[in-house]
Amino acid sequence: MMFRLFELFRGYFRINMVRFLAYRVETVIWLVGMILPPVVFLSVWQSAAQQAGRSLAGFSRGDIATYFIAVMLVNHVTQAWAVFLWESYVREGYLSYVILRPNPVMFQDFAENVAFKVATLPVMLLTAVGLAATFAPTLHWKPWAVVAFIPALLLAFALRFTVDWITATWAALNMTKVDAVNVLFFFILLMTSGQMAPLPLLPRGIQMVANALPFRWMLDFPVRLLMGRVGTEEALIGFAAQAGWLVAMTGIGFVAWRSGMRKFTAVGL
Amino acid sequence: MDLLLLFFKLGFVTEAEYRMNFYLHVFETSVKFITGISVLWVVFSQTKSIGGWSWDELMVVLGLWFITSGLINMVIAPSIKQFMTDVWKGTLDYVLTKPENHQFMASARKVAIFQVIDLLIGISVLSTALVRLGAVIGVEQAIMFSLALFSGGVILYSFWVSLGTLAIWAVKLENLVLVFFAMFEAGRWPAGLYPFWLRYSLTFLVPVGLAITVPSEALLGRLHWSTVLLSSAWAVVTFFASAWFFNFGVRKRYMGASA
Repeated sequence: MMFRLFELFRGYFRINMVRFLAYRVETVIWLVGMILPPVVFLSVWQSAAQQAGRSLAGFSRGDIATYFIAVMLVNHVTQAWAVFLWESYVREGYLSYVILRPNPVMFQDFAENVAFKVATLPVMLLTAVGLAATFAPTLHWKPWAVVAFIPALLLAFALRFTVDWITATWAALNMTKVDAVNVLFFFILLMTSGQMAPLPLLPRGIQMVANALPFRWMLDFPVRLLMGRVGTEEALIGFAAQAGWLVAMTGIGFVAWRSGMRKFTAVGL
Repeated sequence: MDLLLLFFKLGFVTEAEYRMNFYLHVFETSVKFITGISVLWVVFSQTKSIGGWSWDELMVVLGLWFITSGLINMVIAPSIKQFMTDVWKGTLDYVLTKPENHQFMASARKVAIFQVIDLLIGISVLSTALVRLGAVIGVEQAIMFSLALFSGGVILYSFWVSLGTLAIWAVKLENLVLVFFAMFEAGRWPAGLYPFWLRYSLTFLVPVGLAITVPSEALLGRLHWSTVLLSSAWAVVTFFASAWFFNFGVRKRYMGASA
């Protein structure tokens, strides 16, 4: 079973790898959309810090640069985009073929996701170096935190991928109009995950909302861990939160998928 | 002109068929609006101004951003996308056989009427901000603003026409459209906040800065005539260049597929 899944993954991975390398321009274009937003917020917050003439909630101008460059990289690794694919899957009838295949549906999306990231990682790293040259980030490494960052990053990816997949499949199977759900999803993600600002800079109200939702564990936690801004105790809480949310979301995912499949009436056959 | 009115009517009729879509669009636009406001609010919870722009001044930028976005998404983007598909499928032949200006047909044929909501939001944000600023807009400023806004619009229009024309050479261009919208998001903030490479690409590569930042500055009275004149001159150049490019593409390079 495990071996078969592995073979399957390799197959899908290869297909997608070839695809991303063949359509290089398309791939690069996707990257623009992932690089620009962090750069915009980086510029905005650096100007704000300069205007204030002090560090904001403990973030100096250099820390802000480090934060958003790390956000860009972590966001790249944890990114998931099923919410973009699933509306057309359902509307154009593609899903009907996919569910006939004797493998878990999620697997295909997963392999595509990993292939894209492997193919584009060099470009992202180069961009990060370029940005580091422009924005003068400050670095304070803590060796243990850098080691702990790796599992945090993987858990963040698992969590983001699961939540994204649940949202996509739920919206696509139950309402066929995914765009409206997407817009809301990205709004919440933007506000509470740390994409637009380090969480300590947010007003109290938003911080409280962020604490109640899973999104901060997908981005804010790994990024601040990497920057060495998280104490040991907070790191343990973070790992526990990541694991807890992941288990809960996987459970919800199973239930939602089952009920969605029961409702699904193929379009386009 | 009559034709444009007809396209608007057609757009309205088509979309009125799908009332649910209207509510969805209202919802999406409201979320977009709330996002814009919340981001500004969060930034201003930490500081009183950024890059020399106060809250109300940035609201002017946001208002203009919504207006520009509404205009582009209402007429230009849907029509040019249609044009790209037509080139690809060969159905452009049907457009070219019509006795109207080709470029006009290509860039105004499809109207997404719901974008009116974005326009209205933009106008209300802009006017609220101006009232709160208590801005006394002198005649000179008004002229500068209109000139700058008009030039910015023309430059963006020419940009889109050129982008569409490129479809005659390279078939898969939908993705360039995505780059435009990614860059366009950056136009919510004054271009001056960005590092030079991004500022220049926002001015020359994807002329969002010229369409949003420059008119805002004109309205707030911090613009020199030289910039306005440069922007207008650039508008004239890009307009004629893109029109030439379009004609060259359509007449000399487009081969037709259905004939």
